[in-house]
Amino acid sequence: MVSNATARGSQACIVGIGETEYTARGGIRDRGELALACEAVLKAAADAGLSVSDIDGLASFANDASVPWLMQEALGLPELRFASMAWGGGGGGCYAAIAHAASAVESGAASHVAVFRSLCQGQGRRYGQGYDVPHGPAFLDPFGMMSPPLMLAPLAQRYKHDYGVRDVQVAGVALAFRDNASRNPRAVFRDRPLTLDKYLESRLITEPFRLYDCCQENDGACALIVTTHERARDLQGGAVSILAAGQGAEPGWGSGGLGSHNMPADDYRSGGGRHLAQRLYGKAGIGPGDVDTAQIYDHFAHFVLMNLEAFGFCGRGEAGGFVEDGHIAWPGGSLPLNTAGGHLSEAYIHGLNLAVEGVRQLRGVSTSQVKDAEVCLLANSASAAILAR
Amino acid sequence: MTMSRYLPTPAPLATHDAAEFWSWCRRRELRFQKCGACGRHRHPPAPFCPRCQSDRIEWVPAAGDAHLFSYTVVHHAVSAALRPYVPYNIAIVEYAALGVRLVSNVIDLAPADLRIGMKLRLVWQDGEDGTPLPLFEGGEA
Repeated sequence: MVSNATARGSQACIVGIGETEYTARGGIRDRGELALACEAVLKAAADAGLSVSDIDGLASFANDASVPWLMQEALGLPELRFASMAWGGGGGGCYAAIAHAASAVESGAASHVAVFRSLCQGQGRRYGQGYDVPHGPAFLDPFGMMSPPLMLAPLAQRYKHDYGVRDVQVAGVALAFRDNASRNPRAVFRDRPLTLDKYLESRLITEPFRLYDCCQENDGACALIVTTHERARDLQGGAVSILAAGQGAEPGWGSGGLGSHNMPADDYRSGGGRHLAQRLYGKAGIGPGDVDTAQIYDHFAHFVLMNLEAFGFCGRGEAGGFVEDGHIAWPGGSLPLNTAGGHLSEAYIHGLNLAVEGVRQLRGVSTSQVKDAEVCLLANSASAAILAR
Repeated sequence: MTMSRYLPTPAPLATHDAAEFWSWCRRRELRFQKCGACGRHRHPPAPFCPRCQSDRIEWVPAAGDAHLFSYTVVHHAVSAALRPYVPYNIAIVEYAALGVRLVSNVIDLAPADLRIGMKLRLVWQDGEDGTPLPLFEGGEA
């Protein structure tokens, strides 16, 4: 799939992954977000066979509280040559952080960049409660729109209305991810089987989202080490190529659910991401048919359907049928999704734990391994990356 | 008739571009920005026209039909203050002739009676600090 070793020498790849334990919100009390971020980065460096002192770049997103100078001090990094924070609502900047890291190593700005995210929702802000967005105080809060589920539900409602999506089709997303979690010892909901009846009887959070459509609130951290293939040759192996990675900036990127709801109507019901998908497939030189597994940002189950369409795995309005026909299920489906359980059932580490799972798939070590997986898409409506073995 | 407030939400906190929107609301007038150069309407207020980048701004009354572009019905309150008010709706209201949408509430309909595409009419209700909020009704007048 990828070009030969010489040609890809300067191309970015992921050489290490690291995770702390993942718990329900409040499960980690004895240490804070900085400690978790450092633990994840140290584990990722060890996984790569690197000394932590080789890390000279840091990238995160969503205003992670573990700012670079604290991280440099805590980890004892001799020289920090690159530090970036991707903009974007919530985890929308997740795969943009990977793109920043890839650009840094490909340009020579840094040699080894740690991409990380750390969250302790039991100690700080809960995403299911108040959430500040730029237009919030003037135009959203007075009307009771104060948290991500409330901000994003109207997009899903319009999508569902326009295409006649049925609840049992959306349920297929939650059920498939919970099934994947049952095989993943790190998954917070590994021992909590879900049935269609239980899904359909679950309470509404904000229509059309039911309880099981919504991601968890968690404590935990994870990290990736990004370098070039040239440098990866000296490491202990398991390098995964970053064929393309980028951030969305199409018309209306800022006026969607976390903005003013003035996104162009056709993007509003897709959640965005269609232009980004074309751009990244073009850069990677592949199409959706070449993707073996995808890890799609499941803050809310409906957005998985919307992203399946935006990233070209099926036509507009066809994702419900795609799920109902079993395409996303492991092991038999054509495109197993969120094979560690996703945000719905593994943990919500803001998209980055999905990237860690993508690397595991391409190393062949997932607990729901897709046979001969060569290409994995990481995607949400505002950023994405295409990884290859 | 005294009407109770639809929601006990915080008063609008408006600075810069948003302040003038709310100063019109205090006069019970729903107005949007219109570009003084190319005539494009926009909401929320912004310092430049996204089409022609002009900084000439006019404030023009909301015109034409308002309809329900999308909505959610909130069942899980995000705060103790909102708990007695669920289920409540949040409406995305579109003025199609102007090409703008605003976030609001439909205050006279039960959740089951909300329909995407339904016509709405503007009503005013005082918020927490007495600022009139532009809200909507969907039932027969």
